[in-house]
Amino acid sequence: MAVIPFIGFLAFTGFPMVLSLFISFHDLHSYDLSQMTFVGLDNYKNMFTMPLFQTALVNTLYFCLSVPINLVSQLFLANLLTKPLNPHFAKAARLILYIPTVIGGVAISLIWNWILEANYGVINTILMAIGMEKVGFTTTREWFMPSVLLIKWWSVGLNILVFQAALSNVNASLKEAARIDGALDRQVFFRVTLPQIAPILIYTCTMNIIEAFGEISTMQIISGNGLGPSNSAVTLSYMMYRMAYVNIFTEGFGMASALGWVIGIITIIFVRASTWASKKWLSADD
Amino acid sequence: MLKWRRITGLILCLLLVISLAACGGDETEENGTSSGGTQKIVFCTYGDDSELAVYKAMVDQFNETYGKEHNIYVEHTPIAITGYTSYITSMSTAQESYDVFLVIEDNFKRWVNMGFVADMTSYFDGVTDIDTSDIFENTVDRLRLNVANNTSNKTDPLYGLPLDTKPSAIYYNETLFEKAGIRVISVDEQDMDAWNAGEIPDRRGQYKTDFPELADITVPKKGYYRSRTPYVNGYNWTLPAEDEITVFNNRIPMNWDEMEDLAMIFSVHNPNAGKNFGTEYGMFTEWWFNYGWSVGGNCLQDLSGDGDWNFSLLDSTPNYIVVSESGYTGEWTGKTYKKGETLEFNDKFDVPKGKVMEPDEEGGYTVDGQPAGIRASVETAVQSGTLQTLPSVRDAFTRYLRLGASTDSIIENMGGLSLAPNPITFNNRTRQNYWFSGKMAMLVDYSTYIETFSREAESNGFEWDVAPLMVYKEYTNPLDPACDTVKVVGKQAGECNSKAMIVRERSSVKEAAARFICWMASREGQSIRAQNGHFPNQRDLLEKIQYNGYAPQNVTVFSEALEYQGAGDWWYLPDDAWIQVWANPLNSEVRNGTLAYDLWKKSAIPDTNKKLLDY
Repeated sequence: MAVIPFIGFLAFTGFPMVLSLFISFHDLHSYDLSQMTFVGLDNYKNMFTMPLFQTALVNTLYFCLSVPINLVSQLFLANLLTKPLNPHFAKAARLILYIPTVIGGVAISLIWNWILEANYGVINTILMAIGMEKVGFTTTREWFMPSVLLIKWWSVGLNILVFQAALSNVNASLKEAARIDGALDRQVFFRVTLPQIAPILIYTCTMNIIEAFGEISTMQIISGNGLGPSNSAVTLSYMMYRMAYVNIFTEGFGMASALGWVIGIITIIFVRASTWASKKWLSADD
Repeated sequence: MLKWRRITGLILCLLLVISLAACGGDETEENGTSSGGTQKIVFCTYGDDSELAVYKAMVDQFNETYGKEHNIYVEHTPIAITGYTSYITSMSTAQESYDVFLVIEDNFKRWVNMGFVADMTSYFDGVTDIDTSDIFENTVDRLRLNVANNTSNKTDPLYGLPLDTKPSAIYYNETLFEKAGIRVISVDEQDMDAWNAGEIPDRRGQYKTDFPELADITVPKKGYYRSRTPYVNGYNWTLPAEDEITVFNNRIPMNWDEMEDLAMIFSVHNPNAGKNFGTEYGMFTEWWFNYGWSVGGNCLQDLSGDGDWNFSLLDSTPNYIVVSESGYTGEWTGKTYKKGETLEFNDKFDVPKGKVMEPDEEGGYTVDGQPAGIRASVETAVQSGTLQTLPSVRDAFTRYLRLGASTDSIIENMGGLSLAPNPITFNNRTRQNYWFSGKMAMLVDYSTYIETFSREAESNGFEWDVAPLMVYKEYTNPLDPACDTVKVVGKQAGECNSKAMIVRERSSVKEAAARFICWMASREGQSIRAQNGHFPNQRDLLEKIQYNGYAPQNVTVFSEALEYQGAGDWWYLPDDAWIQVWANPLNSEVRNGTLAYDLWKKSAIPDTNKKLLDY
């Protein structure tokens, strides 16, 4: 019986992966695999020398800053919500923080686009009303990515729920014992609570990194033209999409597959590094 | 229990195998033919509700008439706009899939090069009982392609036929014009003398006597006329005085000066524009084509005639237009140019046969290491009056760029004009929203917006109409407001989008598909489009479009435009990677004022030429 999921994996994941690795060493500009020509490592070499690749890599890494920023703030909020608060306030806070998650990324991006719009956006209208200069939140290179990070921050709801669940499962007697031993709240949190929820933290971090490397939608909606000011909306994943479906004649599936593998390898490196760093940090605390 | 588990497992395995098998196809199945012998065609479309309703009406009519007679049945399958392209490409190689589908110009060459579009030349030739001869030729020729050398000549393979056309024109807010004291008339150039003499009314039934303030003047043959201090070559604009006469004629194309002169009234150049009219800008045009093509220039040239592509938008040499009835024969191409045509790139440059020019990094060209000059025969033809000189495409392009550039930016040693919004303005508010919100007086856009604009204008309480696109035109004495004697005029030019019907290479019903496509593109099919207010591709149906009360008075501007408007630069090569190199920084940074034009120019030329080597 165990063979069924294995067949499914082979058919829908394993085979496409092997095929994309195979294609990455070929020149292919159509869906007809018989038109493939072997080019060795040329796709990889050409891709690394493309100026847009460097831009896309920097943009992706910049966007990955959202992972630590969001995790820290989400953990802070989750911890705050586990404290004995007015139950009505706690419910309202949870609702407010979770609504953006339910609404969905595209709708959230559209709303933020309206808020940050360069000429008539809510924030710029306020700025102008108080006599300040308009800010090109989504139209200048300097402001584009910070705006995207701000938008991504609002999709905090799911992680907060997960962290809240993890925090509520922390053994209360351990915290109590630490306090009796004279530990401050801060020390209790870092020395007792955090190690206890470490597996959840590492899991969330891993998933968020993978998600960050696959990011396309938010930036596409915010940028309008898909590329953004000075290509600041071009992430590695979006570049891969363009190679395969937009610039198929000059770049094509071969180069897109090569980029797919590069993205995969970079993601694995980041996930391994963050897992290693988390474990190192936790073991140093012991 | 174990037995049931095994049976369940086997059933699941079977389902998996069946579902995997369904991904393939049955090679022996006679695709497209039902048991009754009727050939079935799956026609894949996308569009808004109004477009889809027209496609359905056309398909229904086909099924009831021609289809029934020829045992062809078409199944109309609309796909959501957002998923259309990915659906078409992902299903392109399936054994069982759609047969006929729609393509826009951006995707045409890309899809043909991907190998899943059928060459329909012989199939179309085989359809002799449907007349498609009255289709606008330029909309058919853009569906021809020789994949090997990327040409679209009349003898090259034909892949489809146009289903619709979308010419462009200037939409203008007439209420704003009236507020600014501008009289709007609608008189064809050849009728101006008779109208001035009071012999005939204009196209709106207005005689000159209906404008008492024009009694003492002869309104010149101009798109926009002001009785004093005309604005010339982008310098010294002044707001029309209160007693100055201004007239806008929506039948004559404005020249660049006239268009800027008019647009200035509604822009930052008029300190009271916001207070008096509620406007921020005078106009907006998304595309440079109208400017560049009007002087005979382009952004892409083939230096050898053999696919040596070059980014030529910043070529600073003059262009030439044939003004002699006897025409002119190009030395390099051997082409005989008719009056009104502009010389091709290699015919104006002094390039010996067999040599190919080398582009430099400044937008210039060399032959054997020496700067390429203009042919002596061209110079002679100018002196003899066979040819006239037009500005370079660089001049035209920079004039276009200045429209949207801020007044403190410098483009080719001239300041920006802030007449048009920057592209960033349209991130959230589309250009159409911007226009009908009344913040902009004029907008260059496609014919497809007639209905939307009518509705929006009505709800926003303003009158509007359309006018022809700008054209390059010099008067013999531009400083004399009354002078309408033309010294030199460029070509009327602009971009016209078109959606076409093409056939999937793996379709097994290509012959039937050819009949269906021909019928849809013919007078029979296109009559249904016209009856529903959509532009037909047939000349003789243009007068019969039923707009259901939505038509602007001067709607013939669109049908006239179809005679000369062509496909945009996104159609030139199999993908637009070469356009992104120069257009993205141009549209996002240069036009938004965050990157100096000179810096952009420095990298745009070599980077684009480098990218063009990939084609």
